Amino acid sequence: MKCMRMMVLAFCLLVLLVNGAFANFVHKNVPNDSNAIAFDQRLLLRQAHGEYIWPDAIYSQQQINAQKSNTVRDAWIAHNLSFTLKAFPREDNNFVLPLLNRGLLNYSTGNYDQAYRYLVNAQQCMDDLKQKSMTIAGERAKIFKGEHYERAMANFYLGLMLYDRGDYENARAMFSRTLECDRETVPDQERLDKLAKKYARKTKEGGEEEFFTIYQALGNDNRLAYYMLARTYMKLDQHRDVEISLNHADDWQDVPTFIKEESCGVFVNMANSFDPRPPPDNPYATKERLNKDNLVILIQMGFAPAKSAAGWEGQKDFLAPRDYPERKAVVYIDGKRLGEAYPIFNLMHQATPTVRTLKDTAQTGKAAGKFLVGVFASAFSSDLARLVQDKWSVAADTRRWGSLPNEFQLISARVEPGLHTLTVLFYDQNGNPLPHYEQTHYFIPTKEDEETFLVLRSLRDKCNTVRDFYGSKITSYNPKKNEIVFNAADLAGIQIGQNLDIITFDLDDEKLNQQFMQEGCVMPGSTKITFLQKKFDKIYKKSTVTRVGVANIIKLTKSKAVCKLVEGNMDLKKNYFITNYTLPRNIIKDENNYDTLQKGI
Amino acid sequence: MNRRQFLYVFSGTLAATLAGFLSGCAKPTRYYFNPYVAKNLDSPELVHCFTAIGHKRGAQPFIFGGTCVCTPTTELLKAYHADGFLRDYNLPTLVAEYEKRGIVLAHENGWQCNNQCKQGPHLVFGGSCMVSPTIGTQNFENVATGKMPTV
Repeated sequence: MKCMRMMVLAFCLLVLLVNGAFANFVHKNVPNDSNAIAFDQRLLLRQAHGEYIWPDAIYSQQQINAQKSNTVRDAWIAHNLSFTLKAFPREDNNFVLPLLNRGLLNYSTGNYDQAYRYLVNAQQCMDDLKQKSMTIAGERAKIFKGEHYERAMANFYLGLMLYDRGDYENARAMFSRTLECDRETVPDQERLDKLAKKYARKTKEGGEEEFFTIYQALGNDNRLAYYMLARTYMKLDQHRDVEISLNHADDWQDVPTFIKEESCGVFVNMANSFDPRPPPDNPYATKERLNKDNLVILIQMGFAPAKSAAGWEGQKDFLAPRDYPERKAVVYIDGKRLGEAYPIFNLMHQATPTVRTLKDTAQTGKAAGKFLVGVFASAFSSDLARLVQDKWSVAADTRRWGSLPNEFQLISARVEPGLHTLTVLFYDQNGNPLPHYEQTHYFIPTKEDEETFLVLRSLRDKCNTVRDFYGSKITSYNPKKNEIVFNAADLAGIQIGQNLDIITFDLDDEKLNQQFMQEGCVMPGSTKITFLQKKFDKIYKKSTVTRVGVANIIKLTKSKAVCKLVEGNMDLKKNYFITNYTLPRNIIKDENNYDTLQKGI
Repeated sequence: MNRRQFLYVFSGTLAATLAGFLSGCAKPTRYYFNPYVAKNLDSPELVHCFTAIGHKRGAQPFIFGGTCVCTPTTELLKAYHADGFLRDYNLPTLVAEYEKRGIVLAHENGWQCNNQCKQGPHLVFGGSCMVSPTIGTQNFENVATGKMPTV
């Protein structure tokens, strides 16, 4: 009996060992071209090529030229400009935008030297620039100097860098400046009085006084800036100021519905979902935590809201949230749960109270003026009317700092001094895990008497040890000649004599496999893959890519490529794909650390 | 146009239209694959030590064939001496050794460059920048593990 027990125990141990070995096997071989190794370099390459950073879609010059409506054309140009990394000369109206985008990119890749130069340059231009407030042309004809929340963010990032460098006096100044920019939300007295009356009319209970209180609170609710200010005062040993700042680090004021409707128009419901009410108490904003915690992590999530042109001439602009799945982050240190990050800042919330000011009235006037001039011109000549319609744009300014995140979440803790492995797991708003967003960082140092301050950004596939890639479905296979045919236009840069991998793709479910064959393909000319990536997040979660053979290209035309199978076998009944991405290993099985970490190791 | 010519033109047009229609309706054959394999929770071997991580006992300076790329300080030199390295060096001579090789230890303005400056990449990747990498970035991890990224 004892022998039997020993055998069972030995068997169980063996199973556990084999499982452990298998679980670790896939993670360890990280190819040098994977995102997990080359992420920074890929980002910097975009800057070197003057490309764009983190856009949803980019409109080509051809598309823009072919667009007949000047409202849409202007909106597309503004959209492209919001993400550009291409440097512009000072004479260009948009020269601040690449400075901001480059600043943020360099900040994300840890090059604070360059980031500081770009952002300080941009911040000074945005703050000091004086220009005539009126023009009969569209608002985009003006030099871009950002909204109050964008100026606040430029100051905030400068503050973060100075704080990290240990220059606390200047960091304090930058965080205070961030708060000043936030206070610009509060409009002038005349406008405020009008809004208060409107508020009093709309809400039966609340009066004008209540509205003034709300707006004062809205202009003073940058909780992240207050939190960082408290940390800075702590370093400067100004304890009274620490307490004052911490009192504000919990302030949150809901934006009145009619203001939201004015700012967001048709996007108001979407705006509500991207600006949820945060939990009432910030557990990390206490003096004890500020004193005790030696690891502080700020996690940036999502993307800043877009601006969408509206109105018959596109003369109005509405704030439109940009979709992103990650809403919750849980942090682990060396496999142990540290806690859930607290949503301390939301850019959508900062942007919504922006009061529609004189600019909007002027824009409506311009649109009406354009209409009247058009009618007047058409009485003389239809060509003249068309000229007015085509050449006089009164489109709203939809340029924005597109690479900003929408949320900041905060976590801090006291951690044993030493080197640690930090893992951040991300979840969507329904609490479903998002494996593609998982981040693991090695060798994070913590010290007894010094704080480690980390600012991370959640980006898809940032820590993925395998690359995403394209493959072409093999259209025919001739077993007698051992020849494979596929659409040559599907794979870029292939050449005669090149070896390509033949793969199968399995989702562990026949229905899903069929769905993938129907919906996993990319339309010709389409570069937008976010739709397909969402499918990988939601449906295609358990995929296995298997290399089954290698083929050598023997004939190549623009549309057709013929290959000789040089390695492996193919089954005529199965679907095969061919790819020019060299798979780092024969089997790539989806693996994440959610199960291991959630169970606790 | 006689009847035969008409039939030729008609059937030709019909065939061309049909072929065009079929090719236009052909299903795309380009597929997107996005597998995900997470990094291991166990950290890999620490190859290079640098200031942000802290000196690893027993590691001698990279320029002398070792794996230490810590910024020279009096404490670091003491640690080297304790491990039996650079007994005949003091701090100024060690710093001069780096300067002689054109290696940048810190930038004048004091900012972190994460080895993306003109002197970059990091010394361990063949550059001449030895400024400590920025914590939590990919370069930080690459320098620590000695993994050279390929793009």
